Amino acid sequence: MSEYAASAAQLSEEAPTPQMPQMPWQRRRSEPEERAKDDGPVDWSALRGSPAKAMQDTLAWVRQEYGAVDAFLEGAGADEAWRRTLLSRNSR
Amino acid sequence: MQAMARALVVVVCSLGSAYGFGTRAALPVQQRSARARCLPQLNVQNLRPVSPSLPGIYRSAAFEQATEADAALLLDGLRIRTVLDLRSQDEIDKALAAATPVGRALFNAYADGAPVGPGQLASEGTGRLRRVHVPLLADVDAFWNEVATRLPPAKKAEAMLYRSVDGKRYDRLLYDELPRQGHSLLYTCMLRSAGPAAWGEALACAADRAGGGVLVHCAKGKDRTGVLCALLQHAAGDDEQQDALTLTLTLTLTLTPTLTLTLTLTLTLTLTLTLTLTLTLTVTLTRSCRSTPPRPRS
Repeated sequence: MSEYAASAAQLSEEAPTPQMPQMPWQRRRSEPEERAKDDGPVDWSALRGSPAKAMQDTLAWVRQEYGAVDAFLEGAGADEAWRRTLLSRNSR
Repeated sequence: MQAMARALVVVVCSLGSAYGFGTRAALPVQQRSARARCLPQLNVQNLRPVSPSLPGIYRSAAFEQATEADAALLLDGLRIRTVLDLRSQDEIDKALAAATPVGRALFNAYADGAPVGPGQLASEGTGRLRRVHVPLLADVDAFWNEVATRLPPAKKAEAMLYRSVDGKRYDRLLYDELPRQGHSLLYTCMLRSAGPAAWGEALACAADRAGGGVLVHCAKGKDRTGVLCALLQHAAGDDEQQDALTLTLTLTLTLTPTLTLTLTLTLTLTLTLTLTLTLTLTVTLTRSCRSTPPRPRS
């Protein structure tokens, strides 16, 4: 969690004013970018930073939806063999 | 042209080694401070190890703005041999259009699988550099459809009304909901909409350090990278609560030197008092035992 939360401290700046579009989720691919501008810019400022609670809540949601984070991982094919590879320390 | 770019990075890397980012440079992998945890501040932002439990896995923001020192650090210092790029193609195109010559050369080196070995761009080890592209938000519509399913009941009814008659208001409703519910909605919708195949590919790539270090990155190295790294840390057994507590304490200590001094003095005083009390008690008990006369046998 601290690794995630440290991101905010590492990034020298995050757009201080709402800008469109900046990140992929700030637009719908099938819609022209101008469309969302008609009602004024969306305030994306709430998505700045990296509060630890956000990731805790995310993992809590995964547990609720999939039963466990490991179940999500296994569903994505990250099985025991993958975990052994992940935890091996033989990186060259 | 490409040869020229590679040659530039070779020169750049030798310069970087001279700056102290050589292959044997001691890296502050286990430093706990949020600031100190970051590797030397260069043009590549947010660059740091994912976890002490996962040696050889690093995370960062995009590196198209890389300098000579950045290239030297990535190729020689950290020996990054695989780059896992979680961005969408349009983000990559925009970043490359504004890339530094070194950033573009680095991108091409990984994308083209430049050879690794003596005299090559990356001189330590063997094999080839590798770039794996797993765009976690490639299907933006799937992402927003997922957001639509998470609307509160009243807004969901409103959305159903707008969807068929006023697409603009429907979109706006979804746009406004994301910042309203915040990061966790962004992350959970990402987890669902990207699908297990994409997550599986990203997880497999991040884990495989057989060829050398792996760098996981997106645009800022915070959201998509953050979610993937949280999953990796979970699999590695990193403690969520303990980790958060450590961060809080570390940040407090980092941000307020006066508090640090106060805490240190308090801790020292407490330890001294405890030690003194223990010694006094031990001495008293010893004397008490010695001074007690043996009971006469009846």
